[in-house]
Amino acid sequence: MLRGDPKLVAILVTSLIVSTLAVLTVFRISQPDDLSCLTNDYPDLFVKESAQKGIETSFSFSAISGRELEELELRFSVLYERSPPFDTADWQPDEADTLEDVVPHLPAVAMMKSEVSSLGGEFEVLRKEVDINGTPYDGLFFDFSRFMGIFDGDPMLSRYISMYAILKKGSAVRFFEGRTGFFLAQDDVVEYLSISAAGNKTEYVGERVAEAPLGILRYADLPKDSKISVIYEVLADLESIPEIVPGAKDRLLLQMTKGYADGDLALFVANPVPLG
Amino acid sequence: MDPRPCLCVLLLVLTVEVALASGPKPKILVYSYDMPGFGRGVAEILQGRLGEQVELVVLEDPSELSALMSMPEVGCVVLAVMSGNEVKTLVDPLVAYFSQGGAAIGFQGCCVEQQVGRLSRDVFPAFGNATGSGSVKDGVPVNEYVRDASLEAFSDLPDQFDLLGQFFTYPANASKSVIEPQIAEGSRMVLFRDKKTNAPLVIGYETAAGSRSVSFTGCFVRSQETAKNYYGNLLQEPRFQALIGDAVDWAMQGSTRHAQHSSTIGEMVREEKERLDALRNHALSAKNERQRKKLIFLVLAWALGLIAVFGLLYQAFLRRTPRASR
Repeated sequence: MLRGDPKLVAILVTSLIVSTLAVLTVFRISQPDDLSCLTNDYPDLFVKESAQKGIETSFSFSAISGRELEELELRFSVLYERSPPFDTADWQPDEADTLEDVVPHLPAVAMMKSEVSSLGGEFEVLRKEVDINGTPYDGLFFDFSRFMGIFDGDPMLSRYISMYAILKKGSAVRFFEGRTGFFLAQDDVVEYLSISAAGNKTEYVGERVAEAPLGILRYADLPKDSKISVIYEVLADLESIPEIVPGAKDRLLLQMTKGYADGDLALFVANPVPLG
Repeated sequence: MDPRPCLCVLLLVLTVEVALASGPKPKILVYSYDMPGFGRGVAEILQGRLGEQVELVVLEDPSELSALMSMPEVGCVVLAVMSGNEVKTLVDPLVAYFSQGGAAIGFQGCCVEQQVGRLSRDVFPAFGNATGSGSVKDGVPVNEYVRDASLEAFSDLPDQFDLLGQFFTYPANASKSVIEPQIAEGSRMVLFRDKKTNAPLVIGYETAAGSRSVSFTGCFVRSQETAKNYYGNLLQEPRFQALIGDAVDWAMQGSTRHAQHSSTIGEMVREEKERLDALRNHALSAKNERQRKKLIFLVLAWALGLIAVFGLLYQAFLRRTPRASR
């Protein structure tokens, strides 16, 4: 019959093509990310006694869930820069050395990798480019905090160094180490903290800051399009955070936020904050 | 058949099982920043005393100590420091470690309140705000130790002895007299005092959380080999070797952190892995379900579209043809 009616064949073929194209263009809705960053603001500079110098040190972050989540975890942390503690004082990386070539020369990182592995644990290694004053650095991030948190819990975890970052551009290497928490010595330096999740807002001011979570937020059974936002202000005096030496203007802080959707990393931002 | 090989295999299997069940060996972290040789010397003494029961780790970087201290198999932390600067970035992690039932030994650098704040109150309750000097005997500076509280763990030491050391720190009132500080919790025992001033030289401290520490407020030594109080000379003294060994033994035996964690390390790591795997599997199956529904929807939409387009074209062309021919 079809052979006998070329028009019908043509109509059938055209219908097939048009219908397929229509379905593919009209109904092919792209899958949203599990978690998307809406805002990510951080200060241009961090200095101790910033209020006296008229500098505001506030951080603001918000994200939205792209689907229903059984568990959403946001992990905030701050890393501070120090001279790379190479195993041999006179060792310096070449321009051709990769980040992976540098790591074995950093005993602090190598030691933790071996320690966690020997106990059957896992750690997270991420690669990310970080832009510092317009210069892109290759970055390698080591995070041991999930393993360390198993034993002593989130509040204690924020006291110990649990993560490292190594940034490299040419032969220059920058080394960072830090802890979980909205800021280093959070109890002493965070003046105000506001956490909103799915319409519920909690504020911590003054003495109540001590009751705030220490940089790790977990939410269960979160519907699609739930918004979480965190805003906080930092005010450090000269005595607090001894790791940050006043006047080290060539150094940086790295404020990091990671979002895990049902256990998988879905979002990672690293904000370089120069020290003043 | 000779049963000995089978017995040997059985014995080996049992030994491995017992080793795994009892957890990894306790680690003793010995830290010194300004005088790494002193730290290494203390570690050697402890290795000689405790042998293969423990693993000694010598550290010279405060950051490495801050990270490693949190590990579950740490049995004791020894801070072989003379200055508070060596531990100023370690106050928070040390207080956290100790509050969780940890064991710690601290030398004078951990005991001066002005330099290390709450470390000298909450972990090493020496409350040192004044400095005293020892005696000079045969041209050598010494602290004269006299026993105060008796603890079985320190019974191998005589009731009175001298040890190399120049200064000691102690809690004092405005007129520099020794005072006894009141502590909020736990039991603070002065094990040895200075003969002349009655200032505490060795303090044992135990909390309800199962934490134990020993503070050495004296033993002030220097790194210069020419100095009268060169640390190498202190390390040679059998009384010092006995004292530091007793202190580590006592602190480790009573502290609860390692005991609690060592038997459950594997289980806790496995539980966390299983929790994350369950979350990921749930997310994966939910994603597969969403994709399946989307595929069904697409097939249905496509079929409907196909029928609709066919219908329209059929109406437009095939049904019009007969009319046109008429």
